[in-house]
Formats: sequence, C-alpha cells, structure tokens
Amino acid sequence: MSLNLKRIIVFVLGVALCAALIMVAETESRRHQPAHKMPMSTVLALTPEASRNCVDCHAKSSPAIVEHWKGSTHAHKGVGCVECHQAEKVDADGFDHYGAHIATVVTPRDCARCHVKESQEFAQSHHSKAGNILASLDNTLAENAEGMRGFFNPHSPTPGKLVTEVNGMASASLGCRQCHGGKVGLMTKDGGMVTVDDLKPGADGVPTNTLVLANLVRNEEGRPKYHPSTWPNTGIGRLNLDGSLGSCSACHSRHDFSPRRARQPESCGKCHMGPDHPQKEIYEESKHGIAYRDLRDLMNLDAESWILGQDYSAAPTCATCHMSGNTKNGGRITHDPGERISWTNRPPISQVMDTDKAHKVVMELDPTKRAEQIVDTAEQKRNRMKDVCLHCHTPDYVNGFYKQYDDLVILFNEKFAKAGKKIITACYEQGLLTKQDFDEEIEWSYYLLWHHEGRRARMGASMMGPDYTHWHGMFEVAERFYQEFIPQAQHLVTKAAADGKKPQAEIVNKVLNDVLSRPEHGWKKYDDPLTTGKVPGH
Amino acid sequence: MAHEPGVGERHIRATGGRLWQLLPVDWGKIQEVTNEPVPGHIKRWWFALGGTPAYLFLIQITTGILLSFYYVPSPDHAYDSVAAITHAVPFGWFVRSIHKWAANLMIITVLLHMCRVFFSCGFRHPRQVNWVVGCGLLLCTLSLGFTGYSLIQEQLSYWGITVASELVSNVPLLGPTLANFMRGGEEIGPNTLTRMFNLHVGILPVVTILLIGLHVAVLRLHGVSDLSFTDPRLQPGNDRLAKSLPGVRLMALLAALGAVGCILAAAFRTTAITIVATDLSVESTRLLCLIVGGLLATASALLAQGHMYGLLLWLAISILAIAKLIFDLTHHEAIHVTGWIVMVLVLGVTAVYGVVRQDRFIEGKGVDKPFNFFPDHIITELLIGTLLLFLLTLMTLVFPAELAERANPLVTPDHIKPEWYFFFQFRMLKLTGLNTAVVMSGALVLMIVLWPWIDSLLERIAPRKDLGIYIGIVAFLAFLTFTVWEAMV
Amino acid sequence: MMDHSASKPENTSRRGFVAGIFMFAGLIAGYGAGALHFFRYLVPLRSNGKKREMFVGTLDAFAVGTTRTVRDPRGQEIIIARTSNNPEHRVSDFQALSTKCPHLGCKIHWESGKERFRCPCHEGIFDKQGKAISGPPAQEGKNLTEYEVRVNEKTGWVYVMVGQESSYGA
Repeated sequence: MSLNLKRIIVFVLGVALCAALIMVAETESRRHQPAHKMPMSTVLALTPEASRNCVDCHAKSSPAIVEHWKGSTHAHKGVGCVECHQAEKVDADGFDHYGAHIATVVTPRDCARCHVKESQEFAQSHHSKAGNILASLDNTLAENAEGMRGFFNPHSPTPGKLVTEVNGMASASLGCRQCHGGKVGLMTKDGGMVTVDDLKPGADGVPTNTLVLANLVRNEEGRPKYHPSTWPNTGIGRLNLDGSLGSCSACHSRHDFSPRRARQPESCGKCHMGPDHPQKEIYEESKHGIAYRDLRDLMNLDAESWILGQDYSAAPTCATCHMSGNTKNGGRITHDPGERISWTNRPPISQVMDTDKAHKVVMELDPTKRAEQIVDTAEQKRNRMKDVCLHCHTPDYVNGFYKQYDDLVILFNEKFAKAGKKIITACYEQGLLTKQDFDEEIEWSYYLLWHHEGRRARMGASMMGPDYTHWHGMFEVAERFYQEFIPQAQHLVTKAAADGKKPQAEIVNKVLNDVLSRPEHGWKKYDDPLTTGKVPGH
Repeated sequence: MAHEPGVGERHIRATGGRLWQLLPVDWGKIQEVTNEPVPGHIKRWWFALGGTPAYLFLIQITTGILLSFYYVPSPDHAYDSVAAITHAVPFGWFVRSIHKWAANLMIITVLLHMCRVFFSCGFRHPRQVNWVVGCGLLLCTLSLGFTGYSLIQEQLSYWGITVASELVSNVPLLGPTLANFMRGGEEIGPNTLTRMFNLHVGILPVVTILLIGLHVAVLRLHGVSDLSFTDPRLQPGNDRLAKSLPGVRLMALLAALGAVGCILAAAFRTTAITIVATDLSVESTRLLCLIVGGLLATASALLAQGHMYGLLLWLAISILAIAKLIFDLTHHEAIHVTGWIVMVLVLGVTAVYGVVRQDRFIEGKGVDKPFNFFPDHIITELLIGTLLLFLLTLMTLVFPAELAERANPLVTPDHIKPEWYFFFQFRMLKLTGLNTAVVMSGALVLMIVLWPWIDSLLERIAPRKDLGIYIGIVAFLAFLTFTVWEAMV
Repeated sequence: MMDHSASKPENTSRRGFVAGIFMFAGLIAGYGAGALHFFRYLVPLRSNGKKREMFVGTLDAFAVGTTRTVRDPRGQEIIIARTSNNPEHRVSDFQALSTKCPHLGCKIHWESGKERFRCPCHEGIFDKQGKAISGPPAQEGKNLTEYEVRVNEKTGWVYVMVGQESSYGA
C-alpha cells in the first residue's frame, strides 16, 4: 500500500468517523431528556429544612419511603415530611417526635391544607361516604353470616399458636373496611378504643370531647397506639379521628403520591372487581381495556398534565372517563367520579342520577317539586361523559350507545328488579319472612339477583362488556328469578297457608300472580300454589 | 538493519533555527532513536497488533478522565452518578459507551497480540523478559476491566466483588488476608468501592503506563523479532496482478457499497427481520448487519489489493446468499425476490469470474523491505486507530452502554455471570471444586508467565518439534470452548 | 505493492503534499467532531432562566414577625420574613432575601442584637430590608438580591420563585 493511498484511506476514515459522530449527535438530541423526565433517582431533590431531620433518620430506618418521596412531585416542589404529617396540639393522635408534633395517619383534612379543590370534590363524592355501610346488607353478612359481632371461644387448641379468643369482626375489618374504610381507633388502657364517635370533632376537626384521651395507651415517646383492628386502613371512605372522611392514599399510594398510579385501572381494581361489581373485569373485556393493554406505552402516564386529546389519546382508563380532564371540558379534573355517571346501578332498582345539593339522588315523583330539588341533572352528568366519548366517537355513535345502555337498564328494572322487590316486600309485610336478613333462603336469592347478577348485567352494559351483560348478567338474573326466587316465594305461600296464615298467604299469592301474569313473564306457566295445592318442586 | 536517512530527519535538518531548535535537545539523536527502520513484515496487521491496545489505552485514559468529572466514588451516589451520566449529561452515554467498548476491545486485542507472539515464538531468547512484562500488562488489563465494572454499583458489580473476594479467600495460606485487603474489611462495605476506584483510576493505570514504557523500551533495545514470508509470484513492478483487473475492481466497489449499506442499516434499522425462518430481535438484526458490513468492508479492502483472501470472502458471501435465496424460495417466505435474484446473479457471476482468474491473486505481502517508523508506520497506526474509533462509534450507536439494576445486597440475581473475559475461569470453577479452581488459576497464571522457560525446556526434550505450539493450540481452543460454553448456558 | 522506500520522491511531490493535506483534513474532521462532543459533555448544565415555585409554608402557619430559612435547589439559602398581615396585598407581607453577599459572594448572617445582616469577608452591612448601608456593597450600591414571593390566595400557600436546578443530580 503506498503512503499516499494510506493517507487517502486515513482521510476517508476520518470523514467516516466524522459522519458517525454526527449520527452520535443526532442520537444525543433524540435521547436527551429534559430534567423533569429523568428517571426518579437522577432528579435532584433537596430536602426542605423542616424535614431534614426526618429524612436523615428515616433514610436509615425506612429507606424505601424516603426514596419514594424523593421521586415524588412533592419532593420536587419542596414539600417535605412535616407539611403532611404535622399535627395540631389538639389532635387526638398527635405526638412529639424528635422535636416535631406529628401524627401517623394523614387524613384528607391534612391534604386539604394545600389541595383545596380536590378535597372538596372528593368530600362530596360517593367515594368519601363509602365508610357509611354500617347496618347495610353487606355489613350484616360480614358481621353475622361470615363472622360474629364480638369475640367467641375457640373450638379446640391450635397447635403452635395460643388462641384464646376469636375476633368475629376479622372478615369485616379485612374485607369490608379495607375498601370501604373503617373508623380509625386509638387503643385505650382497658383494651377498648377511641374513635371519631367519642371525640365528636367540630367542623374544624378539633375534638369537642377530650376527656376520652386521658385513657389512651401511649409508648415512652408519648405516641398513641392505633387499635390493630382499625389500622392499617386505606379504605376510601375511612372515618378519621378529625372527623374527615376518606383516605387520599387509597388511590394515590403513599409516599410517592403518584398521579401515574391513580391513572391506571389497576388502582381502581383494588376494590372495583369481583362478583358484585366487576368493573375492572368488564373494562378489561371491553375494547377500551383491550386498547389500553396494547397501547400502554403511548399513554404518557408520567405527564404532569394528563388531558385526553392533548397529552394522550391512545386509550381510556377508568380515570380518563370518570375523572380526568379532556380538551372538551377545558382540562377540568374532578375528584368526584359520580359527576359523569347518569344511572346509579348500585341499588336493587337503578336510579336516574338527578342529584340534590347534598349530592343525593332525588326520589320525588311530582315534577315541580322534583325540579326544585334537583341541582345537577343526570342529563348534565351524561353530557359531561359525552365530552369524553366524543374524543373518539361521533355523536350518533355515542347517542346510539346510550340508547342501548338505557334499554338494558330499564329492561332489568322493569322485568326483574321491580317485580322481585314487589314480591319480597309483600312477603315481609305479610309476615311470611322474619325481620332478620339472610336467615331465609329467598333473602339470599333476592340479594344475589340484584346485588351480584343484576349489577353485573347493568355494569356490563354501561362499559361495553357483552359477556358480563349476558352470561354473567341477564342469564343468571333470569335463572335466579325463574328457577329459585319464584319457586321459593310460592313455597313460602304454601307454607304460610298450611301454618294457618291463609289471608296473608292469599295477599302474597295475588302479588305473585299479578307479576307472573304480565306478558313479559307469560312464556312460562306456573301452577298456583293455593288453588292447586301443589308445593312447588323445590 | 541498515539505517536509511528518514524523512523526518531531513525535515528537521531543513527547518534549522525553528523554535524547537532552541531547546537543549539533540533532535537528530532523538530522530535516530525513534525513527528506527521497521522490518517489513510488521506491515502485516497481525504483527502490528501490539500498538492497538496501546491506542485503545489512550482512548480509555481520555474517556476515563471525562467520566471522572461526573462519577462520584461513594456507595451512596455511585449508581446515581452513573445513571446521571447515562441519562442526563449530554453525550454522557456516548463517552460511557466508548469507554465500555474500548475496554472490551482492548482485552480482545491484548489476547490476540499475545497469541501472535506465542505462535510466532516471539518470546524466545533473548525476549523472555518482555514476555513477562507483557503478562503483567495482560493482568493489568483484566484487573482494570474488573475494577471498572465494580464502580457502577449495579448488581453485577456487587456480586462480582462478592464472588471474586470469596474466591481469593480460598487461596492457600494468604487467602483471607488477601480477601480482606481487597474488600477493605471482613465484608463488602464503603471501603470496597473506594479501593476499587483507587485501583481503577490511580494505581492500575500508572502501573500500566510504566509497564507499557518498559515493554516498548525493551522491544526497541532487542529490536523486533525477525520473520519473513515472501510470495515467489510477487516481484516489484508486476502489473499482471488481480488488482489491476477491472472485474476485481468492480467487485471491490460493490463490496464497499454493500458494507456502507449494511453499516447504515445497523445504525438506523429499528425493525426486526426474519432470517432463515428465525425471528431476530432488533439488537440481533443490527449485530447481523454490522457483522455482514464488517465482512464486506474487509472483502472490499482485500479485493482492492488483489488478495486471495478477498476472493475467498467473496465466494463465501456468494454461497451464503445463494443458500438463503434457495431456502427462502423453497420455504415460501421470500420477500423482494427480484432484488435477491439480481444480487445473487451479480455475486455468482463475479465469483465465477474471480475463480477463473484466481492465478492472478496474491497471497503474501510481497518482498518485505524495512520501512521507516515515521511517517510510514505512524500513518499505519493512525489508520488502524481511526478505523477502530469509527467502529467503536458505530458500536455506541448500535449497542449503547446500558445501566442494569442497582446493587442489592439482599438479592442475588438468578442468572449472574461475570464479564465475558472471566467466563473461562467461571466455567472452570463450575467444573471443578472451589479449591481446585483457585489453585488451577494460580498455576495457569504462573505457567503463562514462565512460558519462555517452559518452552525452552520442551525444546531441550524434543528439539525442533515445536511441542509448545501444540500445547498453545490446545490451550487456546480450551479457552474458546469454555468461554462459548459459559456464554451459551 | 509500492510501499516502502521512504526516500521515494513521492513524499515530496505535489501528490504527496495534497494527500497529506487530505489526511489532515480527515483527521481534523473526525477527531475534531469527537473533541466537540467531549467538550459538550463537559459544559455544565445552564439554567434556562425559567423560575419555578418552591413551597415555603402556609399562611396560617407563618406568623407575622417570624422568618423561615429555605434552600433553593442550587443550595443557596433564602431568608423569608413575614412582616405584616395584609389581606389586600398578600405578597407585600413577605420579603425573601438571598444570603449571598452581592460583593464577592460570601454568606451573610443576621445579627439580631443590631438588627442587621453582616458579611464577614469585608464588613458589608445590610439593613433589615437588605439595603446595603456600609462596607464595599454600600460603596457599589449593591443590595441583597430579593426573591419574588407568590401567595396562592385560595390555598394559602406561600412560594418563593427560584431558578431551576443547575446540576445533574447524583
């Protein structure tokens, strides 16, 4: 190779190197991320002065929560530990902790110190009232059927564990209250607890009855002890000691308070799943969920603002439709998921979501009185939802969908819900059933009919999950109604007639016959239990 | 070796009275020492491999200094600072990738250089000492590699040190002391990282520089070992060579175009391809493009010289292309069929043309005449260096250095392997017991270091049989087998 | 294979010179581009001039007559004092001063007895409002840098406006 050739080759290689380096620069410009999109750990988070002691110590004792916080927007904006954990001197669960007066449980009232609008919306939502399920049917189940109100003695010894008493409320604490939220209680020296009921806090969260605090169990630091049957608890309707309702960490997980997580369906799926309200499963079955699973990478879940049609449009999550901002509503986020829901499918008979100023469904039938009470109509709510739909669908499509949805809900209401309610009410009124819930078979049937299967059908229709609408829904509703509920009702009638309650039996039988002689039930012939004297073959 | 007046010398004579003439240095003398004529066979790259790790070492020093601007050698911040370099600092990923790939390449070239010296018996009397110095450089390079990846504080770093220090603690007698010394304590702690850092940026580079100086000085004092290959077909001024045939020139041009295409595809390809019924990942696709590009570039360079190996490469590429076309057609998965047929036709015709004219291809490098260090050899080194840097840059584009999971002392990953250059040892450890492996490694290192004397012993036992070469082949194959074996599992 | 003989006239000929120029051009293009990248790598992060809000506290927890010290993301200390309670114009309640002496950058401190800030380096003295009253800063007419304070009326959040981060976090 001649010297000159070598020189020329060096030249060519130099130019090639230069070209490669230009490609490097090109890659660099594509790779380079602005600071706010850097991975968590590379963002510089300076600890605010007031929380420096907390961070120094907790970085060793519980490093993960400090790491979580470091990656949060809070850390980035200079909000440290004490801003949220600080307690007033009057707070029941406050204690002095290395120079700061703090409380362990952070309540919506604490969050509201800064997030005013969000907590107001949350406070008026159905979510925040999820804790008020005392004496509901669900509660009866957990406290009677599944467990027991109070403690009872064990059957026999458990090898390896000393069991002296059985907590009959375990299912209620772990099942019901971890979603619905329970009362947070402080342990007293006699083994009982102090809850919001004892403290009776005023509107400002300051307890009006502080006498009960004298009896609290405290450690050497002065820290009160939460009653283990009430804490940990992040149920969304938690009844806090300061009188506030709810828990923000139910969706926003401490300590990174991640909007990203709250935007994902898995967050809602902690509770909105299962046999009685399988919203998560219905969503996953629907085209919406399928698109989300496929296009998750395009969802821009980390973005600071997350406006549909502007920051992302790949697929909707639960939050997209029920809570998040979109370009048609000016990016307005709501923390009240009920704001866009036009039917409530929770009760036995679905109700139109015309709500009054207390955000309760208006049940008034008289048109003028009704109009006076309504503050926010179901139509307004539906239009808010349509704003979301219209980002991807035409008005005809959306209106067509709502017609289909209304039809299904009304079909369930009129064919099964109202019929069932009429019959079971008659049974109660005529004394064919005891006042105690769930002690008779027909009560279980009726409960499964509306609370499980009926909701599945209606919710399946609301979110386009055909299998939930039909097989898990209406099919099972029909089976329950014709194969169990009606025969059981007829059985009650025969039994009452035989037991010498003939007049009562006849009244219920008339209700039964009225229902069954309607055209929608005319396809199936039942024998009249009183005239034929046949006991239904159940 | 005859000393002919060098270009540089004349240059200096012509520029008398310039600035450097004011220094009290005898430039002529320096010229004489540095510009010693280089034996002709050094023109084979195979024989000039020793300069390559030296050049890569320069790259490592440069990029290493740059990395140390942002790296924080503290257990709390090491990983985060590497993450910042990788994700946040402009061109940080580039600097880190170059440092990583140059390190790997450096080890490869050191090993290749060592193989060359071994198989050409360049370590024989009087060059035994330089072999030992070279072994020291090999150990330095490997230690630099090990300490280097210990600094990242990712899982491999932590568990690498853990395993290595446990191994060391099994050394007879001195083991526990050595292991404690290496870790800076009974367990891996804050001291370990600072020790690794100090070794990596302080002690080892200085030792390496000193050893390189010694290596080169001894080399210059002994002179390069003699060797000569000649091709009797080749005489100066012979114009009946293949490189003057227009067909061969066309082949070289086609190969060059193909190489450029492949390299561009490697850099910018973002979709996976299916090749011979196998779905390749994007990474593998890019690697494949890069390999084919490299092959074509080599073929192009060799064909331009009318070299036989170029023709062989061209034949191999043609056969592969034809085989792929036939496979695709019979398996009904051919895409761009016309293009492939045209390409295969061109390849086939040119290959046949080359085979017909194969008598005009050369094999050797012609008559080896000594040449000047400056500028001839320097330009060659510059050429190799620039080519390496170009390839390294492409590597950074195709395979930028990634950052694995942060070190977690509580969780040993399921599949933990050292860097590839320790695969050999790792496999040996798996095959034998812990103690055996440690003793064997020590014995192996000792054997390599003392090889010149072992070789002369073998020569005395069986003169002129070159037993050492066969031992070397077996050892090299064993190394390759173990490395590949470990890589596969 | 005309590759040896350093004394061949090729080196001194015009062709050799042109080839040499080309070689140098190639080398400068290649290595120069590399050097430029390396230079870019070393250039520190510059703030983009944008400011962002940094949370200081809430109105009700920030009593009149008290001060708070916060550190901005670059590590500079800022002293924020609440001087009044004026619902009409909340921002005027607060004064946020840098603790960096405008003269040569030393850190000033508050002397409570004398109600003044003092810089230990060259005896720069500033009054409560950060106005230079004696020493080199006064001669140069440089007062303490004041930071903009913002108050969110609705939430009662108090912010101080600080520059964005200027170093790569580690």
